[in-house]
Amino acid sequence: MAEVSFPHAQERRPGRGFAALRRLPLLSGAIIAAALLAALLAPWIAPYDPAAVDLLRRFAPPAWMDGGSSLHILGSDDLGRDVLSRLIWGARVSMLVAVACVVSDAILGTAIGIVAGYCGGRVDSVLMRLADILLALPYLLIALVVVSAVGASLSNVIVIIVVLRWAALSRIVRGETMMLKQREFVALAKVAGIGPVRIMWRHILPNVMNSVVVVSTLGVGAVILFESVLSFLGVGVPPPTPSWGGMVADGRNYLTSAWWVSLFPGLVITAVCLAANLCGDWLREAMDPKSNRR
Amino acid sequence: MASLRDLTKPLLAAAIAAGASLVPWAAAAQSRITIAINTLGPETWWPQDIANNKYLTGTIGDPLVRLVSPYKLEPALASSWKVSDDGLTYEFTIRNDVLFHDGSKLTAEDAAFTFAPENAQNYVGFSRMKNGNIVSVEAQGDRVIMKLKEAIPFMIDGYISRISIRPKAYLQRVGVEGFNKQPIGTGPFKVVEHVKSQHVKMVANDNYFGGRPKVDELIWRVVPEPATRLAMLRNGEADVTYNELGASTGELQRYGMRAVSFGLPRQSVLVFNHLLRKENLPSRFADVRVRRALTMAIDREAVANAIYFGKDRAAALLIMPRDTPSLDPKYRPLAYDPVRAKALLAEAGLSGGFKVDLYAPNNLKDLAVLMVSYWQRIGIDAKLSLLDPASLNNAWFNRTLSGDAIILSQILANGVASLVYLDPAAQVVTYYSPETDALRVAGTAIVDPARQDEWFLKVFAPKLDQLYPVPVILEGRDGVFGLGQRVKDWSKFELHAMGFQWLTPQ
Repeated sequence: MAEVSFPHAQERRPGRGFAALRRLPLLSGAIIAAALLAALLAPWIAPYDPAAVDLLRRFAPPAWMDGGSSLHILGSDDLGRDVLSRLIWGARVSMLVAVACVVSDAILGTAIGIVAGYCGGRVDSVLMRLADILLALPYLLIALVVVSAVGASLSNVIVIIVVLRWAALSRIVRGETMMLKQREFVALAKVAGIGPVRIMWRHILPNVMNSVVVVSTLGVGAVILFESVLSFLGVGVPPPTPSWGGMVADGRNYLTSAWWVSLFPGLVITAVCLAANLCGDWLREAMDPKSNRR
Repeated sequence: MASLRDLTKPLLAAAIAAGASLVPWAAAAQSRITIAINTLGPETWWPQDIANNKYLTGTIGDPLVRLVSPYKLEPALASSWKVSDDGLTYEFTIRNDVLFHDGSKLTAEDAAFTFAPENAQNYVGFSRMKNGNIVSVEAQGDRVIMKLKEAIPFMIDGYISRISIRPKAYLQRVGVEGFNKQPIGTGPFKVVEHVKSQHVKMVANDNYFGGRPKVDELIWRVVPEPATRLAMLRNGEADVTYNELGASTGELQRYGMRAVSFGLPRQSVLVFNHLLRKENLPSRFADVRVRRALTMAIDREAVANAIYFGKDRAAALLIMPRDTPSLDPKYRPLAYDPVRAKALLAEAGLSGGFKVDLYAPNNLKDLAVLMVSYWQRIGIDAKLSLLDPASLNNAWFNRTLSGDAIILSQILANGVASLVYLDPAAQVVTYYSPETDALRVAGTAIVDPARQDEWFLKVFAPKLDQLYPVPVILEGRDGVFGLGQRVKDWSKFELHAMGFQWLTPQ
């Protein structure tokens, strides 16, 4: 049977990408790019092994302060570990968690949302009640309980975040799918004898991708922050693996005497989360057909 | 309409009255001590969890005999006591001038009830084990006769001195739930308010047999964060903080606050989990060369100086001879020698290194991270899991912990008393090793303290490294208090750990 094509299945306007690129928040993009590069190149660019302790150089202040030296540009922590090296290696954890969680959430949330929206009926009811339950749960409390039960590890943190976060995206995708399935091109596809799986894959999915990308990008900052909170509370990535949240926690007892141990990871978390949110915002506007700023 | 002059007099009178009403409040506030404490543990008054809840239970109650400084006992609710030659019978004479908080009189029946074998489940950890060794407790007039299954060295120091006597009649009348709502004891302070996980308010017991405390009110506030406790101490919100071990001690010193240490010396010890499993699994840690390598890989003197602020030192022996000052320099620890450590691993057939699943309480995080870092240098890849101390202790006691090795901080085992740690039949087995079992049996048969010491030094001490656990850092004390400006005299408080009745506020 010949492939039936529907020219309006994906709406595109020529030249949109270039115009949107011009409004890309450069500083935010640079921060995200720097964090990604730090994560990828950590073994080559970090001055020290992040777990290497040096008890003779505990609480070395940053290079520009009295007593500081270029050996530890951002100072050292209570065990003499280099703060800069730990920040660079910590980017690995944060970026890995962010990418893994956002991609997994996008796949899971989109699949469930499309299936629920397209099938409707009992399938929709069951999947959306499950989503409602998850949305009603206090994320942090559940994460604390689960990690206490199964133990803290990087993979456990990722699994917990994915399981707790897919529901919000699935609700959005389900709503869009329900609108799309009323459209003519879907009706025509059905008339042409195309099966439901193929319709969802070829005709629904491409049309919900804009929302998926925007919502997922906006979730990057939230995921990084959530991982940092878990690590701060001691139920995230276990030591001595460096993580930004864990670094803030390591320094909280020395805030008045060695502020740099907590401050720099705190600033990095803030900067990366803000940058991720601004990029997500930019992407939302860039992909929104009704946006005035296009 | 009233003029300003008309209003002046009533306003002045009202101001004076208000000022006068503030005076008693100010006086009361002056004898209030606020304690910011890291945790109040399980916060139950019965059962008595003396491992995790000694602060509260000890403040509202008293033991029969009080341990005032390491290895020194003084009478408390018992005016005298004696132990039979075979170490199997203990006899305590109960004071006749002690009242519980509800006004009822302390009797020998109360003491017998507290230690009754059927109450064994009301104690946690070692205490339960020792309570299980009691065959019978009888009240005879003003005396209590306690009979044991087998002689246990340090029965008074390590057990009887840690249990507060509970009122039998009151407990039977109100039940466990009622007792936990309104606990009473013979102690220097009475509970007037208890909000779980937040605070406990106590007031002075006017009828305390040891004299009325100098503090009118004692407020315990749970403040888990050391930095918050320090801030509270500095700005006068708290008068005492606890437990300021390790880095917190350093922060107290940095800001010129007083840090008071107390109690029996503690020692952090690396213990191996395979010892607790029922199956007799072969373990690489059974090889003394591996255990020595683990010890020699760590620069323990540097660690002790760095994270314990020079107060402590590398531990030399797992068990110290009794009455030997714990920091006696004649006992030298294994020196830091990573090259030799690597060679020992190679001799043991582990030149390629190995993986270790290591558990540690989160209050020993810095020590655990340092150990992992040092081991990495000789090829040992340790995966660290941190748990809160109470959960770790419970998992350890109940033998449900997975993993290979655990860092524990324990009261330093001294002399023959420590043989209790080696007993495989004990509920809490920490130091047992098959190689030393015969020694344990021989040691516990000696009852005479002088002969115990002689046997320990000649026979047992030279074989100490046959024990599986590895001593790491000798901490030198059980806990550290931070004291604020309003605490004037703390000398007796320091001597009697947690003896808040001896605190003198300004």
